[in-house]
Amino acid sequence: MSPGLLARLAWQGLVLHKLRSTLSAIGIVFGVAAVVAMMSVGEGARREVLSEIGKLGLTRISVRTGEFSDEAQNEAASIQSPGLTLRDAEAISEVCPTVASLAPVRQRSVQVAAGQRREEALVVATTPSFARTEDIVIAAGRFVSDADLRDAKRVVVLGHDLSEGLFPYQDALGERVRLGGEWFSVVGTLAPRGRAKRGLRLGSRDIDRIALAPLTCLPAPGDAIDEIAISIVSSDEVGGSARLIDSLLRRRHRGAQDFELVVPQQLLAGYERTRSQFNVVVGSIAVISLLVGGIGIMNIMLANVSERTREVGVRRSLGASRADVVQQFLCEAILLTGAGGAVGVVLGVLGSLAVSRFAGWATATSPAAILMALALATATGLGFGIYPAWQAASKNPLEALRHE
Amino acid sequence: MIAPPFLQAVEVSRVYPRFQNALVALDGVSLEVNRGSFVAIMGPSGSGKSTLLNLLGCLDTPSSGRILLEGEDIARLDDRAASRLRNRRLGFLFQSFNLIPQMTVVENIETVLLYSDRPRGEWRSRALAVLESIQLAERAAHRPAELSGGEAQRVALARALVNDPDILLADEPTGNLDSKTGEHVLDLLLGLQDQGRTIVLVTHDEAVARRAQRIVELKDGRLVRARQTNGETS
Repeated sequence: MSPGLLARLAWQGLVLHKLRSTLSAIGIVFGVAAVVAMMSVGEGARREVLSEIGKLGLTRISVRTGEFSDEAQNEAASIQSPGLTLRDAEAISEVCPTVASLAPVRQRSVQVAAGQRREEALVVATTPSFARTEDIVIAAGRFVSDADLRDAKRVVVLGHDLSEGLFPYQDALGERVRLGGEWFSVVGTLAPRGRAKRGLRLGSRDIDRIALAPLTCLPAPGDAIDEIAISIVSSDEVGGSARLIDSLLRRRHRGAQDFELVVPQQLLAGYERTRSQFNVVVGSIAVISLLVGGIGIMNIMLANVSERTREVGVRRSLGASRADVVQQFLCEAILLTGAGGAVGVVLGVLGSLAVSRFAGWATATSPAAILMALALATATGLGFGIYPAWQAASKNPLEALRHE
Repeated sequence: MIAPPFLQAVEVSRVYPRFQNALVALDGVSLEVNRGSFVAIMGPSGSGKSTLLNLLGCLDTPSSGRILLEGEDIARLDDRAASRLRNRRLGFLFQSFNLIPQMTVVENIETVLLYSDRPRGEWRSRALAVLESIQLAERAAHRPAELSGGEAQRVALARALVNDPDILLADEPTGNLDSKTGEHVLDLLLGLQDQGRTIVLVTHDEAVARRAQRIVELKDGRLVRARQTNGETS
């Protein structure tokens, strides 16, 4: 029997009890919708995190002073740890041979003004090596130079968006801007890099909105710095280098936990672990949903078979073999779950779009997720339809014909 | 060499096992049906006449004995072969018509072709042609519930004939019909016999049985008498 004929036959069987068939498919609809929506949210989060980690760079290590608990701050004060300083950066550079480049960073959020235009920006005061550690691409002009650093020249390099915001109709190069209360000359602008997503706590800067200045223009007591941006020679060396840097700084800070190491490679590994746990959870929910849906389908199919026993007898007398009867009822179950799955996919995609729109989360529905959801729904029909179909086919034709 | 009878039951018994005292529905019945003949199986309720018909139609399997079609034993065919045989060589007519309610008249008739080797493109024209032959073409799109008893039985007859079977097995085909409609159905059966089909009919009605060429009487699962309808006892 051709698939088209089988489908037509199955459809005739299902429309006998439209409401009952629809209700029985609802379990599959919501099961599939939930799975598709969750997979979309998971995939969206995955892409966002990977993009963010990618921006940080897998050969990077960042040492930061950050917000620590009162207990950690008290401990640091009691053992007189100086916090993160320029000397830490020098020590890392001396001790760790795998460091390709290293840049100490001080940063402040300030208002940048050019004429009547004002923009909020992050001023990053650093050294010329920052360009290498952060893969900075200059669009026009130049980067901060050693001479700027030595002479504490008031020069600034603007991120793409910041430059566009302050100088929408003219070239920013050579113009002067006010950073906080000081005047700086624009010596360079950066090529656009792409906006960092909000809500992620990986600490990547929005390079498009930064103002880069010489480290010496933003002095701090005790040579304190906010961050040491480090680039390692190869991604294989990142783990060992991170351990070495961590132990060096612990020793230098007399054991005080007043710094943190951000290692994107480890973040990625940690994320992948979380991701696999998420996958297990989604998979479990999918299995439970489809199990519940499948039991509903089996229940309805058993009722269908019982009600249509006489039809089975008639078909057998007309020449249907057991295999024909199995095919017919199995096709009904698969049609039911397949249709339920298709509706579920549509609902799931709509649900993920709603999540994206109203909660602001990134979502992404991949064709593989849709195909997998449909395949799972169809497999559910196959799995839970086989017993009712076999029961129909096993009926004695004579007894089936006498069934009232 | 003498050709074997077209359809033959040889010492056929059918015993239904029960917890106590097995039920013997048929006990060593032998019957020969020639090609193109019209045989009526008669007997009171419980005599085993429907059981014999079901065995001849491969809907049931004898406990012992053989069912031969053109000399070949068809009693022990596997499910696929028995289904094929029912589809291609046998046509069934039931007392309660047994049309599938959710399908239209023409779809009911096409159901037989669904399990046949006939090409899909031929189904509708065959079904309509056979409906035409019993003057029910205008009912093609109706559902069984919209038909009278006589019409329903004629549709069932059309369904039995659509795949051009050799043998028509009819189990009390006039049992649910009034006498006039029953006569009409019997006339159709006689017409089919004239066309060369073999007909085996089960009835408990002597008047119906008399329309056949030969009457076989069963009682308590045994064959008690076989006679020609011209009055001769064979």
